[in-house]
Amino acid sequence: MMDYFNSEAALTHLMMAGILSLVVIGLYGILTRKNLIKIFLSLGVVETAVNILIVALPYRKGGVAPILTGQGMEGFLDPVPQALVLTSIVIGLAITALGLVMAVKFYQHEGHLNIRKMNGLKR
Amino acid sequence: MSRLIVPVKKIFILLLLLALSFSALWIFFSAPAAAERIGDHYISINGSEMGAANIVTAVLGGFRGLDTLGEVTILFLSTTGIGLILSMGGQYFRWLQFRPHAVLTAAIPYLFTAIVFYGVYIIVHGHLSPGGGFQGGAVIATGFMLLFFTDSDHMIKKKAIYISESLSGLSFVILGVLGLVLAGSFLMNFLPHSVRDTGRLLSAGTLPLLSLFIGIKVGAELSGLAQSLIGRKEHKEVDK
Repeated sequence: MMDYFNSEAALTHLMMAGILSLVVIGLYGILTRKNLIKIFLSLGVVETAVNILIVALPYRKGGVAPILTGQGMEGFLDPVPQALVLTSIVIGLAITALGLVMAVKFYQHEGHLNIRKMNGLKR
Repeated sequence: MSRLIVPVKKIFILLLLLALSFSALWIFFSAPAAAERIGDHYISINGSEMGAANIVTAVLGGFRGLDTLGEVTILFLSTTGIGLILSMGGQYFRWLQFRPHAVLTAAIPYLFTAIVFYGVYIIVHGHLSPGGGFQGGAVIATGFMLLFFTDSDHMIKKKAIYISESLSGLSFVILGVLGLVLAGSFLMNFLPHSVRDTGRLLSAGTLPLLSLFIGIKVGAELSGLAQSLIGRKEHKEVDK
């Protein structure tokens, strides 16, 4: 039993469980909530899960951040996913802010945020 | 006949999502590790082409600088769109109605300087330690956001934000084009970047300049974002 907890597989399974639960929570929120702001927040949760996935995938046990400190390059992790996640976080922030501002404007016009009642184009 | 209390539909959605994401994750994690990764290549040529201590910044600003340019463009488009949407219809007023706490009001004149200096430190040391333009810019924007929270009359001029972000974006592109002209490819490191200087403040050629420009641009954009989201103090009553 303790062998399992010390193994690299345990780490992978832990990361998988965390990412899985975040993705499920976020997608569940997107599919079942009716409030626009809650939908955008759920989208943010899924985004976080994807970012964790990208960072966690290339992780090896004993890996260190790819920063030269005079100790040699032993165990350097892949720098590309980390740089890409940085990009992804900033884009996620921009998209979330734009969506929330649109929700605010919609609320000013219509007085509600219920997506079940958003049928203005059908009328 | 009693009504069905169990939300069958929601449970079905939940189970479906669970199965879907589990299978997707299983595929991701069980993929065999590639024999040669692009990251290892970047690490091996970092010394000769960038000379940066922080290889993540070298990837972000140097090897994948074009991606960063695209990302900065997306951020710019988003802030422009937010400004446009918020100014539509003339109903541009202060959304957040609250009085700042006394602790925040008393602390922010001292904290603001410290926060901005910390952001500048993160930006300037982007090629040496964890950090860089985006992180430092976000820290600076945090300082400005706290300032807007405490003193709602305190606004940066819109023109100052536009000028600083346009100039920094333009400088980023100019550095890229200079690399194209002087060194042969877009955003190539054309300033001296010898390995002997790695770890010093003035090293890694164009990387500190690039992270400085990214920092100014992100700081200005996020500050402008916070300013337009917090809005003005005076109300414009809407005609009903």
